Amino acid sequence: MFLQKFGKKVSNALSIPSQLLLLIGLIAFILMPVFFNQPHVLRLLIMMNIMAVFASSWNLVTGYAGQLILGHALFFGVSAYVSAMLNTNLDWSPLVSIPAGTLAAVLTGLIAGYPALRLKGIYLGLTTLAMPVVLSGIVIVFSDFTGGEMGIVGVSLLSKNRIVFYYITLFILVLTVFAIHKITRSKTGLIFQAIRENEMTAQASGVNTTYYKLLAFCMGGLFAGLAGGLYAHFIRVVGPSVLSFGFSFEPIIWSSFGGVATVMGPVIGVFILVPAIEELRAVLGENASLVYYIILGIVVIFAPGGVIRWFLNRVEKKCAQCEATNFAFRRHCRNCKSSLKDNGVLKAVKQS
Amino acid sequence: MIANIFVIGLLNGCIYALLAAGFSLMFSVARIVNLAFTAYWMFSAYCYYGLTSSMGIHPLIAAPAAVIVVILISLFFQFFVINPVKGSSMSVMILSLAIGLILQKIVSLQNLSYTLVPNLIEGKMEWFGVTVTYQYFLCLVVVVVVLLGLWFFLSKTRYGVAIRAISEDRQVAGLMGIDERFAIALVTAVSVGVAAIAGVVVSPLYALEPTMWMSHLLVLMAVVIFGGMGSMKGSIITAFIIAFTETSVVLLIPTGGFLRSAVVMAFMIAVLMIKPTGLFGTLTEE
Amino acid sequence: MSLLQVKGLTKRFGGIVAVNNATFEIKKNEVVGLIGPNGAGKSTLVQLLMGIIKSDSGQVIFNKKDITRLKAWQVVRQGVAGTFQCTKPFVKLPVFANVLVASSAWKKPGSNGTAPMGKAMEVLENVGISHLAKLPASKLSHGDLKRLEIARSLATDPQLLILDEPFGGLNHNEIELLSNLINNLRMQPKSDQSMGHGGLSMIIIEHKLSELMKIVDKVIVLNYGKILACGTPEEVTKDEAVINAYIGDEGV
Repeated sequence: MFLQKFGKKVSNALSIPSQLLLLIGLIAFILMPVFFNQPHVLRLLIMMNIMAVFASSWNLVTGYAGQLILGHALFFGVSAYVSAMLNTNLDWSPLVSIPAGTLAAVLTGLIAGYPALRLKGIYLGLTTLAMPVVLSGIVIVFSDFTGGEMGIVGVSLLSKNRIVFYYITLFILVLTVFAIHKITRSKTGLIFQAIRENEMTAQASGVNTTYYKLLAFCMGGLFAGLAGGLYAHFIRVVGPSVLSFGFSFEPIIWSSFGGVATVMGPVIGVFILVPAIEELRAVLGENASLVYYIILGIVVIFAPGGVIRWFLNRVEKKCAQCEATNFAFRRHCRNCKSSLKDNGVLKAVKQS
Repeated sequence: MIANIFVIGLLNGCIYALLAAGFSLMFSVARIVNLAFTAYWMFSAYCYYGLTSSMGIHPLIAAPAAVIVVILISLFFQFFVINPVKGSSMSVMILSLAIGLILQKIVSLQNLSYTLVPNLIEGKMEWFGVTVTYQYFLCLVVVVVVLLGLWFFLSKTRYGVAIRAISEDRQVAGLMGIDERFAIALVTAVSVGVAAIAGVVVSPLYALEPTMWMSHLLVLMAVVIFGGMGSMKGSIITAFIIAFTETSVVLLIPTGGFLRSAVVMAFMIAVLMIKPTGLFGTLTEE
Repeated sequence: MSLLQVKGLTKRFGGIVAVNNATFEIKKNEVVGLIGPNGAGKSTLVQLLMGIIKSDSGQVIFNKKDITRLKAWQVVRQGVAGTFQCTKPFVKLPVFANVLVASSAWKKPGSNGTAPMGKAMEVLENVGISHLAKLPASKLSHGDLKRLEIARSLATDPQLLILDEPFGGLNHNEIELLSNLINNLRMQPKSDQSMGHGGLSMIIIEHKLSELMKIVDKVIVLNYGKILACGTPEEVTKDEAVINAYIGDEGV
């Protein structure tokens, strides 16, 4: 009886293209090290996992809660620096220093979120853009602790075995995606989106916007901090570059490429763009970034909602009668058996 | 030391003022945050260098040629890249950043980094005990002329007034029969033209490098926000405030070179927290 | 017994006194019309009540509690909900979610077990747009948007409902539907009697006086930020000062 129910649930889930593809993708990435265990491939895969967590965190704050962050490197950098410093100076194990760095990033969320209580849109964006710059100034001033320009070297690895490291990061990525999926479907996620759409109306609905905005920043700090801590204990060097423009803009580029305000968008963006630039560099050398930015530009112009929406619009079809999601090649809805080809909406459009 | 701060600060202030005036104009009319703006400035400096040094064209011909080339490039990007995604500020930001990076890459592929450009006019003099080239004074004069020209264009000419009408109220401007596409083209040409002129006059005075637009972009953002988005007078005043602050930090603090952006940014955050629309802000977010 | 007491409320914008020493009272279950020429300060006054803008001086007391200094969302939680003159829905979210935000924003003390979901659906049915629940708010017509605004306000379980120009931009048919709805709302005792309050009190700002006079118990007339008159519709329409204020503006 239970098995039957479970089986039904699974078969139902797999009749939805996005969920089937997600499952295939997950299995593929779980099996990846079996087929590709060269160090450079594993290194790339680990970076993809870490950056996907980082991009997802940006998407949560800006994509869902609508608080424009242009300096997301702040959270990443704070966590990377804190965990690296705790690890090198106090000999804390990565298992303690990463959570400590993450906690620091969450607290940074409270500070970075404070301007969001007064500022909106581009003003907020540029304020947050300035924050990592200010922090890198602080890093230079206190170079005795932070290593200044050179950064902190000799951070210990989270795991010496790259395959183990890969599975740790993959697990954290899956956990992050699952958590963000749950958040966006919860009351908190609904309120985040309400604040994004119209803050005044959210207040008039009785939403404590101060609390939820700070919460969004702290959640963003949490996941970005996780990524920053993992990064520090993988690359083993933390310098001012983790607070650079590049680190601030890349999560934005990845998320927009994949699809802002979709759970999987940032992950897809990272999983396409990070290997793409690596591959382009191998093939084109110097010209790689030129081609990369041109391709990026074309995608942003022609798939403004991100590749994930563009793609799903082509493989998925919603039944007009019962709103069940179907494969685009199906003729009849898997749920209510009504025809998918000639649904009522289309007819109405044609007639008018 | 103080004379040094004054001389360098004045030059940087002028460049920031020109860039800020252009950027502010583009923001107030087209309502887009064009991150490629300082990249046009950088590109124009290199264009001028390429035309004079590599191709041997006379500076007086090369200067307008460089400005026109950059304006044409910006119009191309505006119409084929930015306009299609105008509705989404996030896409505009990413695409303009990509444009900036593409321009940077094009320049750096020419292997011209750390270039010195010959002066338009030769000679130098002593000023408050600091050696100053005539090119420096030429630069100051051009900045003042361009700013006055911009002010004249916006307040006295028909097109300038139309542009201002759009920045104040698009719907009314639409009713008055002002074509938005034309206005955006015009405003792009004018504001990028201002940036390009800044690039040409500054190219002999700066040690050029393809990545210099990034640091200037950051300062420019601070200037425009400081002065209030869309307020040209405010941006020009704050351009000088920031330039002098920055130069003082660089010259007075031992590790100042690394700190200059940090100090400016900290200052900007502080101002925004106290006065969310900037010092002279007129526009508010819609 | 009075539900809302406003004492000497004043708000200046630069040199202009938008609301000048406004003092009035609203009883439980009373429907009050707020009228006055354009720029009289009506919207400013209700925005002061809703906590959207802060007053310079004066006091607002609601249910014996001083709400003058509370933030907008705190005022809502006290039981004062309002609609905006120009509707500002969460455009990308479905209609249902628009209302769900309000019904789930905080735990209502008196909610007798009605879950936020149920509450949201109930409210949508009440205003008659439950069939549009799954559509994104951007697809709604102007009239339906006005209903959505009211639904969103009702979902916060208010005791005082403020409607800023509910009939603005609506056609005859829509006006009739909406005034029926308003009438229903005042007749209908609130679903939760546990808190011991009866029906819904309302403040309605409206230019279409003929429609307004049919549904209100009391009218407050505002001009240049000052309260000119206050009384039943019959009294107010005979008031000299009111007639003078309105001459050249609109016929009463």
